[in-house]
Amino acid sequence: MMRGRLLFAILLAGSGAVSVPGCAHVRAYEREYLQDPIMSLEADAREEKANLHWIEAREGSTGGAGAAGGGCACN
Amino acid sequence: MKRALAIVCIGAGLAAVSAGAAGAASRDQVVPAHSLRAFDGTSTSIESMRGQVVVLNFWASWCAPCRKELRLLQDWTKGLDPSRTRVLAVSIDRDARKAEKFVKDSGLDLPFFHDGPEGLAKSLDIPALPCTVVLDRSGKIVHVAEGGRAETLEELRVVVERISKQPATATAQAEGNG
Amino acid sequence: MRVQLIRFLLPILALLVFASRVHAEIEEQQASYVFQMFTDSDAVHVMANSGVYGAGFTPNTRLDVHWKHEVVVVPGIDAVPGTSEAVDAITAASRPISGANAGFQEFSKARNEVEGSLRYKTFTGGYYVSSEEDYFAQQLSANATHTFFKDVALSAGASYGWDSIEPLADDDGNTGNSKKTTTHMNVIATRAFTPTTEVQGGLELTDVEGLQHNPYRNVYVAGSRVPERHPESRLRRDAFFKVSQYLMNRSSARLTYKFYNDDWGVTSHMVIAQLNQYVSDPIAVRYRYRYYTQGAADFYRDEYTEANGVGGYQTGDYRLSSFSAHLLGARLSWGLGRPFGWRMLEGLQFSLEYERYFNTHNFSANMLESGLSFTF
Repeated sequence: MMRGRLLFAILLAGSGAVSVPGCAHVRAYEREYLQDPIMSLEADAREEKANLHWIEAREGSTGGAGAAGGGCACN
Repeated sequence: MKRALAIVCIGAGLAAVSAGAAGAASRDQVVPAHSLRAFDGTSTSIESMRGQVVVLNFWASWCAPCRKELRLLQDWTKGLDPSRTRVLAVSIDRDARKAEKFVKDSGLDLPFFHDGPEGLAKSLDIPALPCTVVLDRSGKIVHVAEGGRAETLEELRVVVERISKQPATATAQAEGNG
Repeated sequence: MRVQLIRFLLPILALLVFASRVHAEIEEQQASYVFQMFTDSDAVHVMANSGVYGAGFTPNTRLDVHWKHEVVVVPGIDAVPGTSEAVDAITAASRPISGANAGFQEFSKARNEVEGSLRYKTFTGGYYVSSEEDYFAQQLSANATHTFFKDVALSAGASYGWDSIEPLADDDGNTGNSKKTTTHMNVIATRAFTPTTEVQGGLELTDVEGLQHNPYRNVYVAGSRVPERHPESRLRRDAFFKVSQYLMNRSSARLTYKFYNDDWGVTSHMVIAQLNQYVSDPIAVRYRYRYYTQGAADFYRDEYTEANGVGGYQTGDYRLSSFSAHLLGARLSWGLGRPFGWRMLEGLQFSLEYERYFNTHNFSANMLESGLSFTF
């Protein structure tokens, strides 16, 4: 339980660190590679959300898609 | 416990320390000497346009708002006097072929140029994409507009009309006649 | 339930008609269709057809509608109801057992799902509805995003779901009509660190109240068959972290880690490693490996020896046990451009994906998915 809370706190700090500027700012004209479809985190999130039903029907956890999937009797 | 975690969730999202905004193309800055390459291989220099108001629109084939703005820009240029105002649509794609393919597929008819990400866009350090920079007749930046909205183009029209009515400076006259 | 589904579809259709009348110019329409097929080692198979239609009505407004029709077929249980062999704890679908051929016949169930979302500037609101014979679910969601300092995109979302469960007649004895509510919050930050590196971190909190066990499942407790029983409250938390790196040979690598725990005592770790590669300009391949491991819920036992289970709870759900799972998959995406020169089909893309899943409970599954999408 304590180890779980510690790991959660570390991930919380890590998520906060993503928000903290400190590295060089990526300019608008430098973003070509980030906009490439193979880099898209949005497409990833859509697919994860679509997969939530069958994943949650076979495992005990949830999340990771940035949204809650809607309910169903998928159990 | 639930309330604490909810607060932490929100707090983590708001945990950001200001590092200051990046530098960007600034007003009154004179655009450095630079040549732009058209898709037919010909080159045009910015300096050769002294004496005219120049509207530089920076875009990329990978930028969805840019693609939308180019269509609006084409309609917008129809109301301009080409002898007094030049509009240049400058692609910053790394690969000129991608830009050329987009232009061909889109059917747009604007003065298109390719300059890549390391050219004028980097020299001017444009703050966003799409970005439109307006130069007065002496090559000085007088307006920088970010984003591709119809309102942005209306603002640009007001700026271009105002500058067009201003008498050319002695410097601009000398360079334009040189 | 079908009448209720139609009743809830009407507001979405009305919204579409309103939007199309108020805003004459529709921009950037996108449509896609996906077919999915799932089969597993217990001979359960699922076939799903789904589609999405999205359109921008003004530069600041976008509407997306998603639909899905899914049919799950569960094979007959080769044993008489009431015997230990008929205590089905592995199937991925709930199933009643009733009638003379109780359990021996295969059981089939269809599910229909519709979700609409409306985006205005950086705000998105959504409504979801799912209907099947014994389960009716609805959900409202909202999300806001904001970019700070041009590099950090922050997103905060919340949703509230309310489900109505009406189990079908079951000779094994079942739970009466029940409800379940799900309240969810998340906050996600995304940041570009270099022109080729992007990082995302997120935190999620979900509170589930109401029926959370399978109303058709029984468990052997101290030699007697009793209905499965789980706590009616569950607080679930997870945190995830993703790193996406563009590699100079026109490929990208992504690593994802997720940590989860809840107040039932389940703790899990998940790691996904993914490689995307352009094979040629319009063709890209994605390889994916996922590793998942979890610990058991506090009240899970392989065998219950006490009459009241563990603290009054007993489960036959292997998802609450300790296990590990692997998933390996590959996906092919092919941008077809303008087949036959038809401008209307510009941006047509075909995708084909295969994934293989297996866990330490000797359970395995194959997933096949194919899809078509285009922008017009």
